[in-house]
Amino acid sequence: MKAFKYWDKVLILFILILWQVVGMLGIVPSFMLPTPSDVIMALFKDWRLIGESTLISLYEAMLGMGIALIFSFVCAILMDRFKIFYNMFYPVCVISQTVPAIAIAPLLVLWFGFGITPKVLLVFVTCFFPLLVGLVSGFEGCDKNILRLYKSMGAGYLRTLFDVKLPFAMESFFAGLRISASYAVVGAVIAEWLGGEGGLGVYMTRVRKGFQFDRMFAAIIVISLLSLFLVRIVDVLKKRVLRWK
Amino acid sequence: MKVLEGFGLSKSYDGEKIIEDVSVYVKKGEIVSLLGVSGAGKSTLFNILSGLESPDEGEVYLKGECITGKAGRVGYMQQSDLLLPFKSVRDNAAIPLVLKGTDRKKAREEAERILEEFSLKEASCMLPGQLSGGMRQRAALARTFLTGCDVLLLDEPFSALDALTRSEMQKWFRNVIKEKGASGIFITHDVDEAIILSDRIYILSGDEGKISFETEIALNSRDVFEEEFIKLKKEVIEKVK
Repeated sequence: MKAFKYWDKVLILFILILWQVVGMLGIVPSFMLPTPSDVIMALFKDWRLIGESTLISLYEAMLGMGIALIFSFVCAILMDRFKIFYNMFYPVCVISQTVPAIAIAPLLVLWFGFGITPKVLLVFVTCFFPLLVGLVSGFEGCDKNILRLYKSMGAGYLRTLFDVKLPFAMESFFAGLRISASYAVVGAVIAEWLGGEGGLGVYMTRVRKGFQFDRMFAAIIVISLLSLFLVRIVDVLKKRVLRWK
Repeated sequence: MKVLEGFGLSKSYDGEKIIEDVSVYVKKGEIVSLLGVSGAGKSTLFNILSGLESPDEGEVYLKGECITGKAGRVGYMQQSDLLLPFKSVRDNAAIPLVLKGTDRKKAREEAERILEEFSLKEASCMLPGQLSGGMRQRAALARTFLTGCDVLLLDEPFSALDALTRSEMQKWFRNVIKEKGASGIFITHDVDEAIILSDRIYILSGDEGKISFETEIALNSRDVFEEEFIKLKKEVIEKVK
């Protein structure tokens, strides 16, 4: 007999039902904790605004992540090629990670205003490091014998990079990309909390002021679905790229 | 005619002498084995002959030209096949040609041709992971041949194979080298393998890092159960110790 493998879904369903029952029985007042059905209703009622905000946040997240991708590749290759670059920048990158993103978000807003720039920058800051670490450790983990073989056949650095290092680094790069994808939307939303013209973060602060907690929850659900969706895309891409595995 | 010759080669790491005043050569169409215990400096000698490292003293000549410290002049094959797992067997074999600037399509055709010679025609579009150990090693050898160098350095090329495949590969390998008129120096731990495969054996002694013994192999048969084979084997084992 096949083992039942949907326990996670059973648990989620159980929590939702419990939550609904607690709300309906009035154990917790609905203005403090709206029931799942209230949240879904809010999602439908306010779908246009939520949809628009989602697109804005998604755009910021994608832009920040795209820039982080380009920078991480350039930096990882430079660090791989020039040891001095690695020795200079890698420790700084590691130290920079001890600064929480939430702490620098207000500064970014202060420096770059309420436009899109601080949002994209915050996404960039949160996504860059996992991508860089993924690539650098991927390069370092390359089979030394294959690198020697390439050298013995007279291959130059660029050729070795494209033929050997990059393909071998893909596995750990995708591990980094997965983390980045799950941070990206959250990064954008955090920056939006501090002010802006649109996006899910701005939507959340607005409905919070109006005590519309059902809409607040609706936004939270959209954020988490969006992150899951991005992670899923990364997984599909990984499967395609690492088909040889 | 000597095609590859290392002359008076010495190398130390951190003040410790690994090899000292080692001279070896291989003639056209000849297969030479380099025997020695682990740590005797066989791989160091190979790295120098292949140009991956420069010796502290001595020179390496390929057909009269000094190639000391120049990589890419002789074919070099290592213990594991080192095929790139994400490239097809054909593309793996074609790597040396592509590295030399041959057009990709031409390189593939050339690779197909040699793979067919090595009975790997059906496998040419497969990924290395789909091949058996012996096939992978043959593909690696095809790649080594496509470096265009007719002098091959082989660092324990068959040590990862099972006994049956190994013995088959040894016979096949000797035939291929002889047919192509290539020359090979290969490292092995296995005395049987050295006698079966080669025309001459060098023994590198671990203590001094010098060639302690050299012998031509002039056997009528390379059957491991023949008396003359066993006699020679005993003699070589004595010297390795």
